[in-house]
Amino acid sequence: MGEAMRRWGGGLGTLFRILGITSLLFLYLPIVVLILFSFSAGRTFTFPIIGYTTHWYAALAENSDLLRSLKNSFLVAAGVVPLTLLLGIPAAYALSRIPFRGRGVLEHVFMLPLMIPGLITGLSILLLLKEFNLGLSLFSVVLGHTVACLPVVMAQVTARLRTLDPRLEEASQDLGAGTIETFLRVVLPNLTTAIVGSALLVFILSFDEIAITFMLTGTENTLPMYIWASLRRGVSPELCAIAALMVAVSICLVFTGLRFSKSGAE
Amino acid sequence: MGSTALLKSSVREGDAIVSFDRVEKRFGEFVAIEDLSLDVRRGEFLTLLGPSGCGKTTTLRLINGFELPTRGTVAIDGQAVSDLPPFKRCVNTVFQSYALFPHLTVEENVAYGLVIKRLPRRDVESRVRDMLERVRLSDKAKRRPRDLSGGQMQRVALARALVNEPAVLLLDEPLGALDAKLRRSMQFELRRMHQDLKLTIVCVTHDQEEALTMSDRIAIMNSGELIQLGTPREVFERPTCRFVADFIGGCNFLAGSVDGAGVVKLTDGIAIKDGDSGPPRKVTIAVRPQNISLVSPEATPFTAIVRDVAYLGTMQRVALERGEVSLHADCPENYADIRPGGLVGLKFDPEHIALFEEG
Amino acid sequence: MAVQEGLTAPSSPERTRLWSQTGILVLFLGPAAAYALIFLILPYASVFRFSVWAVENYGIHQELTAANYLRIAENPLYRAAIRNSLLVAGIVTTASVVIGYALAVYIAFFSGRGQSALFFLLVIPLWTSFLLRAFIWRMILGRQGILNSALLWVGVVDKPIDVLLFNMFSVCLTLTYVFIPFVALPVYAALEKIPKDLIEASMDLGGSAWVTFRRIIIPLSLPGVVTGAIFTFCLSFGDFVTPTLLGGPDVLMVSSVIINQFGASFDWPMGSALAVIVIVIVATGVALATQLERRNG
Repeated sequence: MGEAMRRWGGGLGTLFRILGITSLLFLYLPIVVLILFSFSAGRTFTFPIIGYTTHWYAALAENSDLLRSLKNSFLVAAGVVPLTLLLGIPAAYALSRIPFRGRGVLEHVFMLPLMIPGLITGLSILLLLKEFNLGLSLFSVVLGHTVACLPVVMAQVTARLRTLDPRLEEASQDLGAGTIETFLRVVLPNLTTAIVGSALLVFILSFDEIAITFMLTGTENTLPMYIWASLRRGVSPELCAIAALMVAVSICLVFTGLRFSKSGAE
Repeated sequence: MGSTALLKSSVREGDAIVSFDRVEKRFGEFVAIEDLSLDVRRGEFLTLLGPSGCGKTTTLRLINGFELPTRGTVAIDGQAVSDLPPFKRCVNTVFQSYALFPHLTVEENVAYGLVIKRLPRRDVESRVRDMLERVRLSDKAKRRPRDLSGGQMQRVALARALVNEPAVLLLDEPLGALDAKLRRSMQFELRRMHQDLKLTIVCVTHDQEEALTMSDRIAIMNSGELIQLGTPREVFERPTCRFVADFIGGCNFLAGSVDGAGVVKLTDGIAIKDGDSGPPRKVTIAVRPQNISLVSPEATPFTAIVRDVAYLGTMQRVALERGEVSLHADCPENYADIRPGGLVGLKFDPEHIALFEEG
Repeated sequence: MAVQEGLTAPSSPERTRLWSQTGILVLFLGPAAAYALIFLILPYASVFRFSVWAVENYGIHQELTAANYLRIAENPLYRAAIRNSLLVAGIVTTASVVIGYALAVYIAFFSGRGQSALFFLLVIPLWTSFLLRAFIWRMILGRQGILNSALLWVGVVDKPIDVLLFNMFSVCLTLTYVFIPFVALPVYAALEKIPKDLIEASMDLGGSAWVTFRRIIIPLSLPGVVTGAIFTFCLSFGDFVTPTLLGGPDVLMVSSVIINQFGASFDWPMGSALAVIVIVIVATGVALATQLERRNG
C-alpha cells in the first residue's frame, strides 16, 4: 500500500517508527507485566519479583464464586450471540437492499447504543423493567447486552453486504428463486465470514461487558462483575491470573477471527 | 531546485533526453526487464508497446523513479538519476487510473505541483487558468473529480502533469478507460499537444492502433525485452520477428524453406518467391491478412477451404483452413464465390511477405 | 414504513411485487425493529420521562417539573461533575487521536514485513476486557505498585511517588490506554483505503513524503479519525469503571453521580436528568464531528 511512503519516508519514516514502536510498548508492556506478576510468588506487586509460582492459577479452580460467575457469563453470551444474529442479519439485509421511507432514521436508531454510554443504556432498561414491575436476573442482562450488541452485528453484516454484488441476487431471482430462497441460498453463504466474525465479537463483548450488567443483573454475578467486586477490595495475584487467562482467550479469538476472515476473502 | 535546472538546460533537439544503459530490473526471481538499452530523443513521442506483463510499465516507472534498476543506469538529460527520488525528477506522469486527488477541486489538483514548489500565488493562478483553458475545462475548475466524466478526468490528469512543464511527460495507458470514440479523439488531441507544446512524451500502451496513430517511434517489448524499435511504418512494414508481425497488424504464418537457388517454398513444395540471397534454411513465411487476395482455385496451386466469413463493413474477413494451418484474409468483396466450405485460391505479392528464421 | 416506489401509481404486476417486498421487509426487519422499539426506544424515552418527575417523601411523584434540571444548573457539585467529564473526555480524545494516529500510520506505511503481525497487535486490545485494561493501571500506578517499586529498585526515587494514582492523571492515562486502539483501527482502515496511485501521483508532482503526508494522507484519513474520536469521546465521557477504580476526590465524574443517584441516594429522576444531559452532550459531539467530516469530504 504505502510502498512509496516507506521507501522515501526519510525523517518522517523515522519519526513514525519511533512513535509507533513507543505506542506499541505503551500498549503491551502493561500486559507483559500483568502476566509476569500472575506468576509471582509474592502477594504484592513490587519489583524485584522474588520467585515464581503457578499457585494463583491453581487457586482459581478452587474458587467456587469465580467458577459460578464464569458459568453465568457463558450463559449470558450463549443467549446474546444467537439472539443478536437472528435479529441482526435479516435486519441488516433488509436495510441495505430494500428502500423505504424512514430507512436512514431507523439505521441511526439501531446504532444509538454504540454512542450512548452503556451505563445509560443499562439504566434506561432498568427504568422500563421497573415500570412493568419486572425483576432483575441474568435474563434481563441478556436483554440489555442484545441491545448493545445488535448494532455490532448489523454494522459487520452491512459492511460485507456493501461489497457483495447485488447482481448475484438478481441472477438468483432471474433463475427463479424467490426473495427468501435467494437470501438463504445466495446471500447467507456469502455472509459466512461476517457472521462468524460478528458472532465471535459479540461473544467477547458480552463476556466482558460491565456497564449494562452493573445496572441490570440481579443476585447473580457475571465474570466482570465478580472481578469488579473483588477489585473494590484491592488488586490481588488471583485477579492477575484471571486477567492473564482472559488476555490469552482474547488472543485466541482474534487469531481465529482473523484467520477465518482471511480464508473467506480468498 | 535541480529539476528546473535540468529542464532549462539547452540541448539540441533530437538528443537523448532519457537513456537506458543496459538496464535490468528484477522483482525477486522474476526478471521484469532484461538488458534494456534505449534512448528517448528530445521532442519525440515514443510509445512502449507490448502485451501485459511485458515490462513496459516497469520501464515507465524506472523513468519516473518509482522503481530503481537492479543493474545498469537510467539517465535523464545526461545525468544518472538512481539517487533521485520521484519527487526530485523533472518528469511528470499521467497515471492509468488518473489518480486525481478526491479531496481537491479540479483547480487545486492542477495547482498541486506548482503550490508544492512554492511558486508565487499569482503565477500559480495564471498558469492553472491557462492550462485549464487548453484542456477546455475552465468551467469545471471548482468541481471535485467525482463530478467529472472519464474523458474530463483524463484531461485534468493531463493538465496536472503538463502545468509543471516536465522535461518528459509519461503516459501510462492514458486512454485505456475511455470508450472507443473518445479514445480516437483523444489520440489526435495528444498528438496536437505534443506538437504545439514541443513535448517529449513516453507513452505505455497495449493497443497497437493507439501506438501507430500517435507515435514518432514505437518500442515493442515482450517478456522484459525490447524486441524492435522504429517508426510506426517501419515496425508495421518491416517487422524483424514473428512476434512483432503478429502483435502489430496481425499476421498469417506458414512453415517453409529456402533452397539453394534462393527459391522460397512452402513445406508442400509450392514456390512463393524467388531471388532470396541467403543460404538454404528453414523459415517462417509471414503474410498479413490484407495482403492475401482470393482468386479462383484453378488459378493457383495454393488453395484453402473457407471456414467462415465475417462482414467488417469496409471489407470481409475470411477464415481459411489449409490442412492443419488456419489463415485469415481480409479482402474487398471482389471474388464472389466465397462461402463456407468452398475452395478458393490464395495469391499474394512476393513484395509483401516477410521471412523469419526458424526457432 | 411505506415502500418508496409505492408513491408512484404502480401497474398491477408491479403492485404484487411491491406487496411481496413489503412482506419481506416486515419479515426481515420486523423482529429487530420491534426489539429496538421495546428495549431501546421505550427505555430511552423512560429516561426522559423520569427526568421530569421528582422524588417526594421517598416516592416518585409523577408530575411534570423542571426541578431536577434547575438543581443541576444551580448545584456546583453537579456542574463540576459534568465539567470534569467533559475535560477528561476532551483530554483522552485528543491524546488517543494523536497516539492512535501515529500508531496507525506506522503500521500502515512504515512497518514493512511485520505489517500483518502488527495489525494483529492492534486488534487484540479491542477484544480484551475493558475492566482488565483499567485494572492493570491500578496495579502499576499504586503507592506500592509496580512502577513505584521499579523506580525504587532502580534507585530513581528514594520514596514512593503518591501523585500517580487516584487523580485526573491516572484516569486520563488509563482511558487513553484503553481508547488508543479505538482510534488506531478506523484510521488504519482509512489509510489502507487510500489508493497507492494517489501517493505516487503526489510524489510524481514533486511532493516529498512529508508534503504527501500533510496534503494527501491526512485529509483522506480524516473520516477514520472522526469515527475513532466519536467513539473515544462518547465512551470515555460516560465511563464509570475508570473513575471508580482509579479516580480520586478531584475527579468526580458525571457517571459516578448517576450511579450514586440510582444507588445510595435513590433519586432516580435526578439520575435520569443527568443521563439526559449526558445523552444531549454525546449527541451534540457526534453531530459536530459528522458536520466537520462532511464539510471536509
